[in-house]
Amino acid sequence: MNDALPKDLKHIIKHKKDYVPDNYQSSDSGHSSHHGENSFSSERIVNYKGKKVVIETTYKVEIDGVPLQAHVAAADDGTVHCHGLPNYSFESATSLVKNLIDAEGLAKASKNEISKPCHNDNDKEHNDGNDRHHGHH
Amino acid sequence: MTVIRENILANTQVKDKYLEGVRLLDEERQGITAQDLFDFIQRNNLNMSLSGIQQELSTYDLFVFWHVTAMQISLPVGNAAHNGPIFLPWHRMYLRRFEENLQRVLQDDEFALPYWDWAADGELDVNDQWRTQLWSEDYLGEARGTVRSGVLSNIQVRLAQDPLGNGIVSIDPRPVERAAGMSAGVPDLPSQAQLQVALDEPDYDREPWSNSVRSHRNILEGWFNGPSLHNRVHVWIGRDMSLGTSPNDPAFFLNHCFVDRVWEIWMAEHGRNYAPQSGEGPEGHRIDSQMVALLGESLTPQDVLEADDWYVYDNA
Repeated sequence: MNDALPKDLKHIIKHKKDYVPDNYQSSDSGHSSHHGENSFSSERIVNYKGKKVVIETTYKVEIDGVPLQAHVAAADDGTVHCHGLPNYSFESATSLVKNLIDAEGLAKASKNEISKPCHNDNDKEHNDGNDRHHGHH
Repeated sequence: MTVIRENILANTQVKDKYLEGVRLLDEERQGITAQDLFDFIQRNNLNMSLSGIQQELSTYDLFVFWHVTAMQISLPVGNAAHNGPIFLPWHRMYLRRFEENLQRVLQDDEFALPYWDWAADGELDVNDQWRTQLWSEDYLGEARGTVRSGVLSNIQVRLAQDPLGNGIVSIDPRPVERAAGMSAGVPDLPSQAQLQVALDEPDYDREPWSNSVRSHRNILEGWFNGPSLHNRVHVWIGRDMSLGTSPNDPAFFLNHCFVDRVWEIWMAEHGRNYAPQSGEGPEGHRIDSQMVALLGESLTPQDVLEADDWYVYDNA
């Protein structure tokens, strides 16, 4: 029988620090957050008749006054994409937001018991001050 | 041992084992909690949150977590598993790990992951596509609404991507939800003709490697004139299949197994060509890039171009 599940899986989950390979160049470009406001910019570059065209599009979306945290970007064909619904191509940001709101109910929890400092001394420094990640709940 | 992957509608024994294996993986606990995954996210500096209830998670939930965290790792092009050349090899590695774990819980080394030929169903009348045998009690359960019948009615969703936020939520467990064919603008599945366009495309991928290029990978992923092919199947099924936590719906693996089969057919025709090569294109998408792995060792695209030692497809 195969050994598909690592015997030390719990240990891996509790201690692994190299999930993201060292040489991965992360890209958070186009995302800015200031004083609780979120906006997302994306750049499209087109070469046409020897001219380089750069189109920068910025989306700032609020729903009932709460900034949308999910990354929004314009694709080269002009459609709008969002991390919140990763397989979709929307013709407009309005259509995108309506679909996001329709999907919101899929991720509801009755309470938040997670985002508290862990009492494990080894992990304490990682958890302190990380509540900034919990924008929506 | 090399196993043979078959059409789920062609072999009821494989179908029954698949559903039972999924149920067993969803039942299996390893002492890993939602708090452990929160700590994992912090320790690995992932740009995402995890909130919600504290609960023990299943092995199946770890596959959901693996997929959505890979999606949250942004690269200069796309992310660590999508929107770029890495899409097909990453999912091949991911499906193989899932297949190995199904073999383990089923205690059957000969079990092979089945696929769903959605292009065949795409030839049916649009009103019949969500009423096929696949969406019956004996197979995946309801195509529309909450899955309340068949083996998959036992499956519980515990981790869901927050569509408005930047992370995942450990939710009060609930059944899988679908809305097949109800998404505006996507009433039908991809057709055979659309699939043929991907098979006829000579280049695996090309600069600028993004979701705007015309290439086999990009057409099959479904960005070209999208949502098409793979993406369209996610959108067509809808609800849980529409989020980054889409592996919550076991239909996910049937979709991706068919996508992998299409890639295999394309390689048999056009050669086992991958691009970008070493030192070219964006890091994280190159032929020698280490792919993000949670269960099992990390592989490179080069490692998965030949799958014959693991599996072959029927009629491929």
